[in-house]
Amino acid sequence: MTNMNRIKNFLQGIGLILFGLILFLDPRGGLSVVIGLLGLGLTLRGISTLFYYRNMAKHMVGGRLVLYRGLFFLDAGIFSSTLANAPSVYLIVYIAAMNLFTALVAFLRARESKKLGSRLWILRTLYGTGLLVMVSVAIVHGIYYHRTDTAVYVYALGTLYSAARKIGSSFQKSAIAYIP
Amino acid sequence: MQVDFHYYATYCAAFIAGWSHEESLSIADSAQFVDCCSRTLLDKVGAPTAAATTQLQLELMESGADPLSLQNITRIWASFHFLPANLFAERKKCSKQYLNKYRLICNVNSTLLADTVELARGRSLEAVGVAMHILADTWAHRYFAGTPSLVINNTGLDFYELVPDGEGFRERPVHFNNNPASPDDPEKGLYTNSLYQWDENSVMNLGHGRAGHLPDYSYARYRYLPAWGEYREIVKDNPSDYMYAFRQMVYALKCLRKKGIFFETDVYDTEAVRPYEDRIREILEKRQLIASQDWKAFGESLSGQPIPDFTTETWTREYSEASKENRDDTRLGRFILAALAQKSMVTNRIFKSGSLLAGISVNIEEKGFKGVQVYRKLLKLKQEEDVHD
Repeated sequence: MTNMNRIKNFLQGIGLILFGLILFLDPRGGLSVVIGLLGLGLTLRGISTLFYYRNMAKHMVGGRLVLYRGLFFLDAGIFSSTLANAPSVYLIVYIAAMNLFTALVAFLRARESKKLGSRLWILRTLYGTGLLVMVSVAIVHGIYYHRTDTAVYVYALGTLYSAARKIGSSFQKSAIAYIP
Repeated sequence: MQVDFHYYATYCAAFIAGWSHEESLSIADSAQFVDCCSRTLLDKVGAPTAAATTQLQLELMESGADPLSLQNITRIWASFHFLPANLFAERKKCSKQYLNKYRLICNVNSTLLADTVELARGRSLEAVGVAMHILADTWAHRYFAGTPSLVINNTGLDFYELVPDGEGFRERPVHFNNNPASPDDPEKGLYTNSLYQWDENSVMNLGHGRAGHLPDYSYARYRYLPAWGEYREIVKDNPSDYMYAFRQMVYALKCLRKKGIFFETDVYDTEAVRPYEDRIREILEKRQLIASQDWKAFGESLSGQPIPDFTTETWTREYSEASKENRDDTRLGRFILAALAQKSMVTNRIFKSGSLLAGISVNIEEKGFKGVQVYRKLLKLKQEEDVHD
């Protein structure tokens, strides 16, 4: 990792921590921010896909599909950003889907690690279970008690986790020594 | 390639090249171990995980799309399974970003292959096995890159298998499905491949995942459109390529036995293999998903010795039971040294081509030792070799 990437990662990590803390302090205001970010994310994804087409995919067999995909994301992103009151259920579904997938991978990895005799299976099982508990609480609170702030808390926890990983990786030694 | 070629065929090649039964077994064992030495396995025995030479499917799934994870993936797959053919290849009117990935496409007879074989010279039998794995894979995995990339590794929808029919071949469309639990069926032309993923850096777009296991089957002949090929079709003839791989292995293994004979690319030991060619061709052409039994029978007929089944158990047990200071002298310890040396060399070559896809390489003669600490083992190895010389 270059020094520039380390600095970028570190600053992104700090930014994510601040964002996560804001969500914890003001979950109601945070909800509209998170929904807005999801719309913005779609728009940015559309733009980056168009760049990806220009730089890479136009050389690929069937690359024209990437161009159409970029235009679709851009359109969908702009459209969703114009919705004044997007239902909060979108946020809950999004967070639930992301975390459930991560939990599934954690459980499968735990099973595989146990089979191969690695002690990491305990850590992975705990991680997967933690995610499942958080998602379940967010769903129950959202659907039965109409409380969306729990989903925002889960999102904030995910943000803090990403921040920790980014900051950790910016200090990680990664260069590979070469002895001629 | 699979255990049939990496273990049993490598044993046969080593024996034909003049290595003893025990030496041939060690080389073959190490060649196959490259496909088993995952981070999880190394972690289990407390060995340095930076020496991993493969990744389990779920390790890949768990891996992120951040630069460090992508560099780790590329270091492993480009170093051991998809050796880049030309790191200075040119292509007109394309971005540097595209060119960096294009240059990682694997093919046979590269200068990097010569460097790989020579890196094993004078080193352990485990190092020789690692080199043979890489050499053999250049034939099976040619035209794919050891880095996640949709624009390089994707394949067109028109994918046809050339099935022997009388004197010639008939074309049959290959039907791919994405269920990893469903076994391939060569009789019906049903194969499993990785899921189509839009994301350029998705692990589904690593290596030959989009072409399924077809490159790993010695009997397979097929034609398809590679994503990078500008709509030019590739016809892959595995029986022919695998025969070349075998002859080149025999040549390489002979070179490594003798001082002063350096490995050259595009040289094959056709003469030494000729007496066995019909039998080898028969094994390679047989439409079966794994040819271990046939190769094993051939190997045993060559040496007159039984060839035990491959297992990772002996590797891990010996390492776990050794005291900490003696671990580098176990088979796994020597394998780890060979793996680190190979990774270090390939990362250096990719870095020197102006690409960061495999990470940053630091030449210790220029900048001193920096980076991942476990590579200090190479420094110690080099010092020991210098004293020995």
